[in-house]
Amino acid sequence: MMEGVVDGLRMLVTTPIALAAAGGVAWGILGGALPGISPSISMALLLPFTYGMEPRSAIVLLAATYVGAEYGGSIPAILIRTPGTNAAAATLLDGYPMKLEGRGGEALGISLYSGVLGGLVGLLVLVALTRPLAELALRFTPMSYFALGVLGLGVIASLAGPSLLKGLAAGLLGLMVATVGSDPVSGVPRFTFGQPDLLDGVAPILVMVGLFAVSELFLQASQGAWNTAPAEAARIRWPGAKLRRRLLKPQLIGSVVGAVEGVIPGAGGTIASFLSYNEARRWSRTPEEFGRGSPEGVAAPETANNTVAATALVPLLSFGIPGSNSAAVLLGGFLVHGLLPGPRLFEENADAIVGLYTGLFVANVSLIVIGGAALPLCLWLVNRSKPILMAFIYALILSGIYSINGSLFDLGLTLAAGMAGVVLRVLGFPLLPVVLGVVLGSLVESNYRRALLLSGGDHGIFLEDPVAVFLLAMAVIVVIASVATRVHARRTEGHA
Amino acid sequence: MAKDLAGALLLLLVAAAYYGLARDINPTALDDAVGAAGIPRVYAALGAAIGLALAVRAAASWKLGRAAPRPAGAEGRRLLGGAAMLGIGAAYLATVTILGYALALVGVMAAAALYQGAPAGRRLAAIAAGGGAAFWIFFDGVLGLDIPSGFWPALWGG
Repeated sequence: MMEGVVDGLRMLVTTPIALAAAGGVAWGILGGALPGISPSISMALLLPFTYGMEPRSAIVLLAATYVGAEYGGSIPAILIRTPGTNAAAATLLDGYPMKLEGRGGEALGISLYSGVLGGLVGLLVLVALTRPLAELALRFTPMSYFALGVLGLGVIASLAGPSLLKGLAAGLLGLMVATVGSDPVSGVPRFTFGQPDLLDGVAPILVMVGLFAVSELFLQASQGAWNTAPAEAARIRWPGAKLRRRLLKPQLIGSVVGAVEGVIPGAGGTIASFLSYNEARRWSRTPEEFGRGSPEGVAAPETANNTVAATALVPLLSFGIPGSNSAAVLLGGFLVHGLLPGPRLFEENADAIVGLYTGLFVANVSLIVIGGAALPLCLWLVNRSKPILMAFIYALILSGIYSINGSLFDLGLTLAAGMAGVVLRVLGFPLLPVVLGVVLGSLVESNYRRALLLSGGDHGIFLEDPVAVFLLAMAVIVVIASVATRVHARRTEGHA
Repeated sequence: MAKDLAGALLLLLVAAAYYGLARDINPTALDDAVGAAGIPRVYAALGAAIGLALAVRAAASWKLGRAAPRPAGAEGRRLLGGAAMLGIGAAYLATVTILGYALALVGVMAAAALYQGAPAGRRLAAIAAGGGAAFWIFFDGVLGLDIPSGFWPALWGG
């Protein structure tokens, strides 16, 4: 543990990760403050630019963007009643009434203070849980890896949104995309249409930027302008000692809910925010103030969603399974640099993990300063003409994707993925299962076939490996639990 | 529900096309027991099964009258908006090697802003030109990327 801390401190001096952390936080705050630009989109916009960076700094830049965006989302929620991120919708419930009472600066201060606390608690949980889980995964064989991939795909059941069938369909589309390129065993080209550019397959980064960033940009084209924010609101007021004592309970609730929800793939910051808001109201001495400008109503969800920003990385770092859109984009960042999150990462690239932990710590601490300093710039951006802003984002995407490989073909693929994302979203298909399919597809297929090569085609080999059996059983449990939850929710809805 | 039915039809179409392409994958001497086409065929079958299930569910909810009222044209507008933005991107791809990166990007920014309702005029032209120049300075000058130069070098006699 101490060795890791020393390594982290050394990295702060010898690598630019502190700069990457601060830059990521600033970019995340600006992105999060723009309605419609979620943390994952802010990260996806940045992803192409990390290509030429030193790997640890690139990962830290993306992770810090996630941290910054969670706070940034609360700025328009409080000031213009438009949540910048989904998770900030809970902050709006009391943040905006506070602003109406002339306490907007105080609400922003509570949001920032609680966000920093939540982020640091989340980081502690991340450090404590990830290594033991990854050590368990070190014993993996091809059978276990196949089973891990199946478990990852099983998570789709809980990520599917309102329709399980559509979630499964989306996951399957991702799996289909993952089969493009040379066959992992024989090397035969599949679905390449004679294009040499497709022989290495479709890079997950192109799918991620297309589905998350380009599709959002395309959909924004048909939506109206957002509200504007008063420039005089650009002052943060830190909570005093008395208020800080009052906020302790909702912050504790937010931390616990965020820690639990973040570790569960698919739960995410939005659910954590609303759950913690609800619990904070239940345990509050003044529940009647909630919805009318209660500081506790701002503190609980902001603590929760910033806790999730760290704990959502537990399944990604331990098993290589991204449990949220932002974790999926971060996975893209790892893949861009040839790093595969999961147990081997701790053995082969431990410095990337130490760098990430250090970067997240710096990101959370620097959020205190940057959060205040970036506020006037956020207000300036929110008050710009939306069509002009979107046009610049389009130019940024086109330039960023081209900068990865200098390939116009990649650019075409990304735009096509963006339009596919528009169609899927309009038809009500979730996007994260597509990304999971793309990322896990080759893991599942190559290890399935490798295992069968070892056994001479006997499927019984999967039942001889205890880890594989455990993971496959977990996958079945995850799917059944998800289906049962849906059936229960539907029945409750029917009775109501 | 119309959206479910459209989704089901789209999935069935994708599964059929995918299966057709999977059938064209030639077996080789290096193949294992599963073969290069094995997994894709399973995916195609799963796609067809899920597509059919979606179609049945959509038909059942339509018959039971559960289909939620749909705001007329809202989804069409979103698709149209997406298609228009895609068109702007496609035009960029088609012209960037001729016009060069900076000029093609100016066109993208002006077209995207105009489509989304920015008023046409000198201000927009200046913003797009400034944006194109800024992106060009950053990607060409600062990052040193090999960006398409278009006809400009020929103009300077390069």
